[in-house]
Amino acid sequence: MSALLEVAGLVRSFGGVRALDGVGFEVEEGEIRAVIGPNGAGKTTLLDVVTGLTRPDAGSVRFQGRSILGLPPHRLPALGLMRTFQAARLVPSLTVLENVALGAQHQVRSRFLAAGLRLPRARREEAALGQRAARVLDFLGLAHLGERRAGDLPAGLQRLVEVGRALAGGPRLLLLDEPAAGLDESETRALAEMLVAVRESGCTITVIEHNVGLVMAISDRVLVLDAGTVIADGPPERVRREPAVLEAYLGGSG
Amino acid sequence: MRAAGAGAVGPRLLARPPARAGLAVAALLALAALPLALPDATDFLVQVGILYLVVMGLDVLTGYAGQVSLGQTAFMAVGGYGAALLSMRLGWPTVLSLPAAAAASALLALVLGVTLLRLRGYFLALATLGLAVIAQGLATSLVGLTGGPSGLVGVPNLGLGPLVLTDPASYYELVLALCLAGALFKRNLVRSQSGRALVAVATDQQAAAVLGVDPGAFKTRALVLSAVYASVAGSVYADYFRFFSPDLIAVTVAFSLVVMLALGGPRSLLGPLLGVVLLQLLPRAGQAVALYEPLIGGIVLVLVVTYFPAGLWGGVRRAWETLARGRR
Repeated sequence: MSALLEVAGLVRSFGGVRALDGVGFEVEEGEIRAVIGPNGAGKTTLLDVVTGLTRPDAGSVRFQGRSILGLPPHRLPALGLMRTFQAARLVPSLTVLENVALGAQHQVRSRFLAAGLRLPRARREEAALGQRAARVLDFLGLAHLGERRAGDLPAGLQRLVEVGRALAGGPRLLLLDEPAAGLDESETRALAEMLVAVRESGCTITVIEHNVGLVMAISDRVLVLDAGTVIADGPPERVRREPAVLEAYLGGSG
Repeated sequence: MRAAGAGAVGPRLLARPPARAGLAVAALLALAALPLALPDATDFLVQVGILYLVVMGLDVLTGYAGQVSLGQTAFMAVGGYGAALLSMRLGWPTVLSLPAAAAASALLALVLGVTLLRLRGYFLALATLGLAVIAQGLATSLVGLTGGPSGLVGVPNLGLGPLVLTDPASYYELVLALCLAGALFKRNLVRSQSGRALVAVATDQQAAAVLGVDPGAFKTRALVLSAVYASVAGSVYADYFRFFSPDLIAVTVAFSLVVMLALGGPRSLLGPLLGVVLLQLLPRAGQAVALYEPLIGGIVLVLVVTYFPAGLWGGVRRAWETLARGRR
């Protein structure tokens, strides 16, 4: 049985800088996988390569045993791969509910003609989308915000809505880019509980995170990047004792 | 809470209160009876309706999908010349020529979409402007086909068998029906997932893509839709005036269409209508105004885009909402 996500030998340079220099790791079905590392370690670049937003110079990315390198980003949600961004990129002029509904785009079959003529199929899909989005907001405890303009929400809530938007797509693998950034302690705890609940529901999670406490509390395995290379990979209790990690990351940040 | 939430995306259009349905029927009858009340204005109303159709389509492309097109006149040209020539040269019934020209416009838009819509922002505006220039150039130079600068004369009136539309009032009813159908289609579309996807593409292409929205495909669909609206408008124009000429699809007209949208209010149903009416009334305000129309249009565009990005209709709507909130 191969892993859900297999990444090997990724190299990506920007100018003269190697943002990724031979990064490889696997994500097993059902785990919460954390990626940590100091600023500039290559974490977001790694996520961008996996989700097709950046082309690597070398290496391979396989999802469910199939190479997804070179696929346009919009094809990935249908395969079961969804992501969020470090700073939420919602559609500010749409409501929270409409934003979440957008996450289920890959399941929508109606196009312009069916939508414009309100054919029965389009109506059914719209109703199902509305219910699905409402369920996701319920799950996140955000049901009361459904009618609000997404752009009017504070940044922390926007990030949570973006997680909901990704969940609406029913992903098999959810990739999160620093979901706890800017959250206070109680919000971070709520986020941790939510991520565990998402995993319980059968969705594998890979999370880039700065908050070491959160990472150690919820993740099954931690990948540590520094300067574009993997310096440690394993269960949190082992990774936190690795000398290289203490040196580069925990030591470096004081 | 949950039921209310589900309603916002899903069946919110289904549950229209009967009182509003009655109001809609009354408004419809009033609109249909307008030529009886204003017989002298019928010709003006027909022209407004035709342009409203074009700007409505442009709103899907520009207002919702965020792609500025200065080339809608090219599709009006395909609709106008195409339908006219199919009937005049090949003897097609006018009711067939119109949809055939619309299909040709859609095909042209599809080809352009695949190539042009890779261009972003100002480059797309420039490329579509080039399209408008080409359309005007061809219309002027292909004298044998289009009649050249003096235009194509003797286009047959729209009709089916013995039923032929000849007077302004019957064209008014036709244009009214087309505008209502077009507005209904657009309203349904923009409130659907496809409409949300268009707004997502306009806002942030990359973020839209990771949700499964194919930005190129959605922009192309919006361009095709806008082309069909413009094409049908062009065909009706030719059939109504029994005439079509390069002046009607000049580059300045393409520019005016964008001004109408920006002025009236993008991303709305009535904004484009407001913009068309205002800009159509402008030349009637006097000789001096008519002379400086492009200048006034340009200044208005700059002012509106700078100070009222939601257009005049957007401003009216906001004032109304504030008023309604104050009353409560």
